[in-house]
Amino acid sequence: MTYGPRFWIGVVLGWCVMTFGIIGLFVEAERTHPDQWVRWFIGAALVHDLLVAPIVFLVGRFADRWGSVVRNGVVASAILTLVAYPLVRGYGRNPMNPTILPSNYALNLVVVLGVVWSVVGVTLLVASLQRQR
Amino acid sequence: MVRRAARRLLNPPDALRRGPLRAGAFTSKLHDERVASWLGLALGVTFTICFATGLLSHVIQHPPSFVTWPSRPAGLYRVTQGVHVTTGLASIPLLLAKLWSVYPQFWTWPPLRSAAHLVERISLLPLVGGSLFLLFTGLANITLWYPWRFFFPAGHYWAAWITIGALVVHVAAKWTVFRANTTRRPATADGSAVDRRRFLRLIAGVSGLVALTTVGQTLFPLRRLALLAPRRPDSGPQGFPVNKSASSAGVLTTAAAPDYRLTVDGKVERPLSLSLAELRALPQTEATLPIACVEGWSVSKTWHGVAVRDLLDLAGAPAEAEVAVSSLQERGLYKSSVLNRVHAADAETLLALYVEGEELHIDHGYPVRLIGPNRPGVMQTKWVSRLTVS
Repeated sequence: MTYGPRFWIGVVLGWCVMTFGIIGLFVEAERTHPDQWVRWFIGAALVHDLLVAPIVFLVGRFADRWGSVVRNGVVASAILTLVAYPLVRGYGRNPMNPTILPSNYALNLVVVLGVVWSVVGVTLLVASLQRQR
Repeated sequence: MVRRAARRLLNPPDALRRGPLRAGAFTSKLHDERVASWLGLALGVTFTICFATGLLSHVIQHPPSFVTWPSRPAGLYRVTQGVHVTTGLASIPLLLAKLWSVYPQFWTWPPLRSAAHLVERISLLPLVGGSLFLLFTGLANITLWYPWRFFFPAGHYWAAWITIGALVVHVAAKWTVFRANTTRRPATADGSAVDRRRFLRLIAGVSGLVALTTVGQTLFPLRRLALLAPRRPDSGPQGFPVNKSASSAGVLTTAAAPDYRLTVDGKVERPLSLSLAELRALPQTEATLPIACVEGWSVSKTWHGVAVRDLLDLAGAPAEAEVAVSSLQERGLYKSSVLNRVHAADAETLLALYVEGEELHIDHGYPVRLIGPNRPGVMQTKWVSRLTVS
């Protein structure tokens, strides 16, 4: 792979924008707490690359045995569970304001996953019927 | 000396090539430039939408002197912020799939091929860290979960600039590869093309499902599908949500006090001090306006109250007046907001006393709340005690 002038123009432009962001971060240090902020910013990349991704790839080693339809169901379920996690745990709940997180999110997640696995089931059924024909 | 060290760095001994660094350590055919390119395109679009709508929301709340945010169309902010939050949520599956697809590149061998390659890789840290940071903090914020000490809007805002800058570098680095993989069909049609399409369809489906189960918090007809939305637009006192309750704001006593008075002062000919009964006796205006929270939920309601414009006329305020609206709330960043000259002059910018024909619930700002067209919820000040004209 080669790096042409377009790459270097992008580097200069992109790093100018990034520098603007970094300066802003420190100018507003009272609100952004740069030490904490940096921990979350870099931490996000490190946790993903060195912890989450290896676990996903380890689990993925078994995934080949499941067949593609079930595997897709697992992938969809994992992502949806991740998105719903803060809701299910209800970290943001506030006794002074019951309109925050008003639903039973564990139940709702089960309903959504039920839909996903219904699709998985129907797909497997259709596939097996087609094979029998 | 330096040159020799550089050469050593660019040609590391093969003995170090172990574990994930091995050739063929990652077996899936979906670790593929085509998959990465299409996911990259999708993320490029969603991140651009989020950046633009987020920047807009920031500018509305911190307007530079040359910007006058209009009061019309009344529901514009509701749309831009609904789009911001829904698009951000829908980006989560896209980002996870993209990171999974390109993960073997993290263990590429040799780790560094040239100075340009080094620059490209260094620029990936703010891209990956920033993308994860933005989506995670955004998701946490809409559920009002703050496991960090920084102030969310400021931290999220500056992270967005850094991430967009890193995205510019990334697009420049990958443009040739991206073009080659999205404009030309693969030379050989085999099973892997079907696998790629299935994978992309799966991720698009999950992304769509996340959007579908959350967008009902702002799109009222879909409210029953809002299973994973942190708010329901039909739940709360008087049937809609509250962001800051009266008890959290510490106004339970002052807002309910019988000697409540609204003050209108500043650059006016006749400063006013009005009791609640006097406010009710003034000509009332009706307006159907959305309350649209920065966290992405919104709901439209019919409000009754005194038009700010009428009060300004009564007090003899100059034309083109700007108005600072202050709350009984004594602390917090949102205890006051500013009506720019356009918002102050809009006939439907109200000091509302009633919603849907009922006296306001104290959590919705009793006795008096500001409600105006095309404003973020945090600028619809509740428990209003003073208008200062300038």
